[in-house]
Amino acid sequence: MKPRGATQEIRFISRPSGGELYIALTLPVDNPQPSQLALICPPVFEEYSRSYATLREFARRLSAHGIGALRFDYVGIGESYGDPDTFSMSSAMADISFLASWLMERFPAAKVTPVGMRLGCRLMLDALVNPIRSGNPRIATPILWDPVLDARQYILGDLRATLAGAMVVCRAAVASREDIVRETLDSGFCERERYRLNQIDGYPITRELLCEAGVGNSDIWSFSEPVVVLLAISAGNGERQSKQLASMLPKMKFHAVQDIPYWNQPPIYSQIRENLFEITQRCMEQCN
Amino acid sequence: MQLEREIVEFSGSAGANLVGILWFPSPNGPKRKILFILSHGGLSHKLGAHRVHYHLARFFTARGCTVFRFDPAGMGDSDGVIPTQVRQDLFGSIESGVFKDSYREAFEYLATRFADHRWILSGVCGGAISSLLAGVESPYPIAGYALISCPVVLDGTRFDYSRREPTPMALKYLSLSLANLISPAAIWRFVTFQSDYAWLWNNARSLLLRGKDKLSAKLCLPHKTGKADTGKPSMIKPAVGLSPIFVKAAHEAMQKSKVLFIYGDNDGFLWEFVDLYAVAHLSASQRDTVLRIIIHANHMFVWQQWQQQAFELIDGWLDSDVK
Repeated sequence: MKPRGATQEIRFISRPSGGELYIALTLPVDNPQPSQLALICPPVFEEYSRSYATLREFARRLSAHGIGALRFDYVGIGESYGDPDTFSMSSAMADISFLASWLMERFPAAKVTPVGMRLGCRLMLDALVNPIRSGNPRIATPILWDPVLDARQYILGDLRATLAGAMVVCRAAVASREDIVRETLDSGFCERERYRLNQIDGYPITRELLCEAGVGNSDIWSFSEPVVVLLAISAGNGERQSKQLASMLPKMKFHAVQDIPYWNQPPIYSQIRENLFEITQRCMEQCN
Repeated sequence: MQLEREIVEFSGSAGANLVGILWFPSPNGPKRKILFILSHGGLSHKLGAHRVHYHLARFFTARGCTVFRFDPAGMGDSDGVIPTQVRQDLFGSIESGVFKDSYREAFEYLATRFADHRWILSGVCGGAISSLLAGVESPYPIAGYALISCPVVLDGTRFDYSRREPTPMALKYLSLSLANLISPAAIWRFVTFQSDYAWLWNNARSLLLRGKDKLSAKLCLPHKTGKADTGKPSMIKPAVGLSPIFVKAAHEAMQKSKVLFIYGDNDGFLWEFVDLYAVAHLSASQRDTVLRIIIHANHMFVWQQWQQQAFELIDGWLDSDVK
């Protein structure tokens, strides 16, 4: 298909439970009512910022090929309403659920493809599990980029960086990850030398978030509906990651895509992920 | 306190659409005719890394100021594309003023609405240097510059980065590992290949290289000085050096406006400001007037406590210096 131009509409929209969400709706310049739309569910914390330009380019590319795209910021993250401690898994899921409905209402003839990135995948699948499971014809097979599905491990892993920062500040190891989790669950925060250590990348990790992430229980999360997983890898075939994901996503279709990761700071600054964009677009067209 | 926000779109060069966000003080809160203008460092967007610009906007709108944050062309939600390039070269282009055109267009737009405000240019890292370089060329008066972690060097892949880490920073980091010398667990990690050898080696190498540089200077041996843009071919890359573009802009800004530089003491940029720039271009009293240091803070002011301390410094400086 010949690439066309894109228009972008940026605005705040009111959340049903209060506050406003920052959204960027990108549409084909010659078709304000596309038949297909991507609901892009971004990563969280600093991965959100680092992937911002890539997701913008992805949205523009889709629109240039006739597919609309909605980007947004979760409440408490990005430009959306709220202090960072208002972010929780349930608030993010409410945002995704609300925006999926908003898109289907505004574009009554369009099919919506949920596209998640990193922890956004887990939030997206949890938010949309009911319409997907019930076979809502307006929602296409979800596409997951580099999914983070175990929120507990993700948070514990990132707390390691916080502790490294604390070590530089306090010139000694002042807490463990277990200390942070325990104290936050007990009292709402973990403080050493007047610094709050229950944070990742400057975003507070609240008691509510820890509970929702399943810290303290060993249940294995899974999603039994079909999904497409794309893993951006610079080398190899992603076999190990594929096996890990298969236990949680038994009906996944897996693609290892040779491309530069977009959520961390890459050695090369590029906003374009040609292979990742291309394969995602192809999957979207096939799933429609 | 309910804050008012407005998404702003204005025309950039060649019809590109640039996007920014205005935050206004509450109608019932305090009022100051001060407008903050800031962009960002190149790897994030108008939010700033670690949401620092969002927090800055919240802090100063609660104190009666208006805050405008925007995405220069090719960044965030603004039109345009930044060509693919190595990160150091991207930083080098920002430190050379690649965003000046976008700032000029932002100034044109803001002048239609906020000509009666005192303009304060701010930002972190690349956002700080962009604000400085654009501000000194602004046709509109700039009341002050509040620059956080502003780079004073000119980056680029043509430079040798192994020679950048200052001795005090390497010493500080290595000293953290001293306790490990007598820790059986740490020794076990080291001999069973579980330690972060790259981190240890990088800091040790920095110390060795700095020592070598010092020895060369003492013995008057010839070595690469790190002077940028000499145009002479060399097999050995020069060290990252003081940017003449920064020096000129900082001088002009200090002539015409009030300037405040804020650094964290866990940021190598502080040492570059002091050792490369201030030593050569500022008197001790000038340095003490313009420089503020936040204890423990790192380069991007990741933790909100450090951000708050920086904002409080700026607020006090607004009251005392930018009347």
